[in-house]
Amino acid sequence: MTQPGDVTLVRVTSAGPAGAVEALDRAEGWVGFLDEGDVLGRDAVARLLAHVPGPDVGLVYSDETNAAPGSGVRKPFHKPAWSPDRLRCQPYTGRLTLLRADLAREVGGLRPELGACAEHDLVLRAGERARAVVHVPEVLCDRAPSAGEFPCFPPQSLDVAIRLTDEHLARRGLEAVARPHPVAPGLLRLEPALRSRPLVSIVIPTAGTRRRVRGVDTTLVVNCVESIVRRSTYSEIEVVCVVDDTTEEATCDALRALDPDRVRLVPYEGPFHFSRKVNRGVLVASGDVLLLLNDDTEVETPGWIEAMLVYALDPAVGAIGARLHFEDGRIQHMGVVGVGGNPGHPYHGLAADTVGHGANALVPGNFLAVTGACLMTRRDAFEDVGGMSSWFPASYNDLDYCLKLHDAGLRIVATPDAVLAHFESSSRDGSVATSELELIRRRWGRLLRDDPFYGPNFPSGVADYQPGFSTP
Amino acid sequence: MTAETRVPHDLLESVLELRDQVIGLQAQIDEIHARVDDLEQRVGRRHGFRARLARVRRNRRRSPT
Repeated sequence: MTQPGDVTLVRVTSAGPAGAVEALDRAEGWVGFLDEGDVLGRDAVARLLAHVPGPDVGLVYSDETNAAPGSGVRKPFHKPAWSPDRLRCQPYTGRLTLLRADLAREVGGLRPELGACAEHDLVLRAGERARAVVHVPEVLCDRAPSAGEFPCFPPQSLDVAIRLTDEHLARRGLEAVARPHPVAPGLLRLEPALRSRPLVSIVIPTAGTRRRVRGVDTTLVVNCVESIVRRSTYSEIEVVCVVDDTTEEATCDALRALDPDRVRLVPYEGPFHFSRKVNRGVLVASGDVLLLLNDDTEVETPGWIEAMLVYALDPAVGAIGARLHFEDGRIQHMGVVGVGGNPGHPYHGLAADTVGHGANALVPGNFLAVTGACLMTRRDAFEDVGGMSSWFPASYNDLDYCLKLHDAGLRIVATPDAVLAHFESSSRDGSVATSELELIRRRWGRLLRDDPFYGPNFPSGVADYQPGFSTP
Repeated sequence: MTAETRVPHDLLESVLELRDQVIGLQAQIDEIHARVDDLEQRVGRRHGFRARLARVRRNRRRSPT
């Protein structure tokens, strides 16, 4: 059992952690960092360590409050469960974070030459090595006003943050480099730097539905495939369209004509069954990487496939989702969370420039699930968990697929760097069968009630990240 | 699609569906265990249902009659 005396807290100055190398050498138990002006809640250290179940845990962090810009009003920042794919772009663990002192030394300790970024560098390296990381969803630290609205890198040290993040990416074998965030100073984005070029099989179930898009009568699947072959910068693709036997021959001809070498049509007979159509397409496809795509989507960012591949090539990741916008540009999808036992789409219908809670709409994040409207996954993971469940013919098959991957220990990522338009549910009836809702709850009810990436601190019934009152 | 390729695809589809059933049923069993644990905690049971079930099964194997 850790005693409060076994915890060493190091003061951080603008030049970095003061005397921290020596303090870390001497530290036993746990070590953490505090800025001048940070205020810990009552018994914060004891409350944090009370949630550490055993010696496997190398890192533990709590929620915090920050000052809103201008008003200075304190706002809680409730963090997600361990999210290494977010940590690369934002030092979101913030305060109070404690690391096991022996783990900190094992990964090489602090590098004082990194100045204000030395602490984040240590958290990154400890996170790579820790067997388990615990998030305690309680506000245990009130951040100094100088810390800003949400955890970020000091803008004057961004070049150092980029360098240490590039080192981390190289250690993890990830094929990307860090770059300044295009919108938010103090955050980073990953730019793909792919060394491997695997064949990506884009599987599109379709019935050849038509509707008006931007005022023009459009065959959705033709519009979708045309946007893929015209706009995508990644060329190692095949497009597998699983077409109902009722689809007009003119639509099939139009699809073949778009790219005869890379577009394949697979016939499907029988009533609508999204999962079986996807599984059929996957079994016919050749690629080791699969990209499941609804026919009512349209590519916006030319580098969308590369942006998702960065994560798909990480064997610890099971599925990657994109950022989807409605036809008018509002947010349709940036991840799926569990709210009161139901799946929810954060920021659904909000403006595209929404910053989000703790800036989570600006950076990649880890979630319980992502939508199957645009979902990349490796073939090995798909086959291991039995593909899309045939028990969910219309709804929740994507949620169930991601939860199977989560249950198998794989991470689910949503990236804001792959953007598509989604003309949602325009291709079929959007209602949900009661049997599918009951089954998803029977399989995954606990996760949907207690989503560790959404946490217990957002009491409203919708996935809006609106916190209740909370103080340290 | 030719007759030569249809058979293996059908088999592979069956393999996927059976794997999904195993994982789905295990998830449902885990959900039920969690509900039992929760209810037993509320009624003050000290030892978990899983441990008792395992003990009963061990004893049954020792005395097959």
